[in-house]
Amino acid sequence: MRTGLRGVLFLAVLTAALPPGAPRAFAGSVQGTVSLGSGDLAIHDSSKPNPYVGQISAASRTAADAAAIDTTYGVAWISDAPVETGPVPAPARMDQLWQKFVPRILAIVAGQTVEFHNSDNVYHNIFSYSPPKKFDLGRYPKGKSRSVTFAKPGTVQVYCDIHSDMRADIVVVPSRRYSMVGPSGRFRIDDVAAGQHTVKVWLPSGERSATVEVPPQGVALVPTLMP
Amino acid sequence: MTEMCAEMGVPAFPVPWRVPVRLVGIESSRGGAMARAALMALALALLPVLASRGECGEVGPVNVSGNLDLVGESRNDQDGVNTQNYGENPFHTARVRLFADAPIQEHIHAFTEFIYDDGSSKGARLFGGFVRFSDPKGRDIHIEAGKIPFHLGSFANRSSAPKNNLIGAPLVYEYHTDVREDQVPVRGEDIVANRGRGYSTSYLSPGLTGVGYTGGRALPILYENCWDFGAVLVGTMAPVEFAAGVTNGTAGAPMMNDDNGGKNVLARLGFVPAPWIRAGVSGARGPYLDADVNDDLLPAHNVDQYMQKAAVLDLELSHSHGVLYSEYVYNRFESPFVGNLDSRAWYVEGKWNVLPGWYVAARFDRMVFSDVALAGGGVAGWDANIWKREIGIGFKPSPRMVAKLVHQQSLVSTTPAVTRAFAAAQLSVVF
Repeated sequence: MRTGLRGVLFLAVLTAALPPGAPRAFAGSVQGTVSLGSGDLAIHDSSKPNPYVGQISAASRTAADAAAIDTTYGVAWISDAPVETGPVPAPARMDQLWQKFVPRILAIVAGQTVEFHNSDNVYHNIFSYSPPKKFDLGRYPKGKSRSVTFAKPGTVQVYCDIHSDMRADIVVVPSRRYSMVGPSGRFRIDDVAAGQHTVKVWLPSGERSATVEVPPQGVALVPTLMP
Repeated sequence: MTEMCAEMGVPAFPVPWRVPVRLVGIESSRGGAMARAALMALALALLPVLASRGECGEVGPVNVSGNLDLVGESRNDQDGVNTQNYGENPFHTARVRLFADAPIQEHIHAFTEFIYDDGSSKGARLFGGFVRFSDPKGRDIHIEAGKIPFHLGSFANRSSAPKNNLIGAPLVYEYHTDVREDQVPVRGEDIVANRGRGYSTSYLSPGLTGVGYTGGRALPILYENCWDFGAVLVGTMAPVEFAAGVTNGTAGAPMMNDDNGGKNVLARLGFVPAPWIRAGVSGARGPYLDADVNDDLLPAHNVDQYMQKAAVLDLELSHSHGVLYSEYVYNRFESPFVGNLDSRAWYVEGKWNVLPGWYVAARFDRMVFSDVALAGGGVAGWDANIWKREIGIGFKPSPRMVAKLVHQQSLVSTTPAVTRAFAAAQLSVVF
C-alpha cells in the first residue's frame, strides 16, 4: 500500500514537472472522423462574382486555388484539458491573399498571438465583434502586419470592413490538445492524459462533441460525429 | 410613352429564395418588348446551366442573395430631396434588393438584380440584368451587355444599404432637377417657375409656355438606381481602371429602350497609384429628350441635337480607421429654347471606425445652378441651389448586418427657402 502510494505521488510529481508541450508518460491519442456537409466543404468558395467591376482589387482566385493551399476545414480539441500554463506558442499567422483569409480557419491556444499579414495590393481593414475578442485593425497595405493576442478560449469571427466576402474563423482552444480537420473529416489528437474527456469539433456548420475514454497508451476512437 | 426602366410584375412581397420571375405587367409596347426580350434571353441562357448542373441533387450554380432594408424615420420624407424615380426613396420603410447570378459558360456570367420599395409606384422592378464576357486570358477585362451597372463616378459601387455608410444617396445621384425629358421650357420663366419643384416639375402648368407632353419625368443629374441598357468595356490594368461604353439613356435618364435617335457614350478612367488613393475622371454625353418632343421644336431641329453632358471627378482617400470619398460633377442640359442649363455638384463623405463594429459617418452635399435669361429681362438661376448634410453612426457586427442612426438636414433655396430635418434608423440585413 505504501509502495503504491509512493508510486502515485512519484507519477504526479513527474507529470507536473513536465513542460506543457512534452509527451506524457501515461497519455493516449484520440482519433475520429467528423461528417462534413456541403457547406463545410464549400468554405473556400466564399467569394461571389461581383456585379461591379472596374475598380482595382486583389485578384480573387478560384475556390480550387484556395483549397489547394488551405486544407483546413475544422478544428478538434479536448475541451476539458487544463488551460495552458507554460510558454505561449509562437505567434500564428493569418494572411490576406487574393482577397481571402489564408487559412480560412485557424486554431490557436489561448494566450497566443496572431499576426494578420496583408499580402494583397489593396488595403484591408480586419475587425471582429466576437465576444472572446473584439478588435479593429484599421487599414494597412501590402507587406504590413498587425497583431492581436487572443486570451480567452472561444471562436472569433474575423471580417474585412472593406471586402464583405472575406471571412475567417479563429478557434481559440484552451490547450495544445487539438488537431486540424482536413477535407476527409479525420482528426487525431495526441498526448491526451488518460481518463474520460470531452472532444469538441468546430466546423462552419456548427459545433459537435463526444465523450471519450482515453487509455494510458494507445488510441481512443471517436464514433463518426454527425451533424 | 417613355419607359425608363422595365417593370417586373411580382404580385406580392417577394420571398427571396423562391421568387417567381413572372414576365408580365411590363408597360409600354416598345419598352415591354425589349424588356421581355432581354429577360427571356437571360432566362434562356440560364436554363441549360440549370438543367445540366441541377441534376442528382447537386447545388445549383445560380447564386441567389439579397438585402432587406428596414427604416423608421421621425418625419415622412415622401416629398423630400431623397425622392427617386417612381417615388422610391431610401428612407421608405422597407426595401428588398434581390440578386441572382450564374455562369453561362467559362468566362461568361449572367447577373440580374431586382428591387422592391414599399413606396414605389412600380412595386418590384428589374434593377439590372446583364451578361459579362470576361477575358479568357484571366485579365481583369470584361464586356458587359444588357441593363448594365452605372460606370460614372464612384458611388454606384457602394450605393446598396449594406455598403452605404449612411442611408441617403448624394444629391447628384438622386435629386430631381427641374429639367424634364418630355417637356422643354420655351422661356426662361418656364423653368424658373419650377425651381425646387423637382419631381413635380411641369412646364405645361397654367401661365407657362413650355411645350411637350406628359408621361416622362424630371431628371436628376446622375441616376444609378436603375441601370441603363447598353454595352461597356470595363476593367483594370493596375494602376489604371477604365470603362467605356454606349447606352440608350443618359447619365440622368437611364432607358430600357431608346426614346430618341441618339446614343449616350460614357467613359471612366481611374488611377490607383497606391492603396490609399483612388482618383478618377468620367464623363457621358447623349441626347436626353424624348423623340416625341420633336413635334414642338423649330424646323430643322430635333432632339438628338440636345445633349446631356456630364463630367465627374471622383476621389477616395484611406488612412488608418478612416476613409474619405468625394465627387465633383459638372453637368449641362442643352435646352432647345433657353440655352444651356449648367449645374455643379459636389460632396465630401467621411467614415471613421471608432470601435470594433462601430463607426461614425458624415456627408456634406451641395448643388448649384447657372443662370438662365428671362424673356422679361434679367437672369435667374434655372433651379434652386440646394445643400444637404447627413451625419450618423453605424453598428456593423459583421458584413451581413448593419444598423444606422442618421440625422439629415437639407435646404432648398427657393423663396421662401425650404428646410427639412429628420432623423432615421435603418437595419440592413444581407441574406
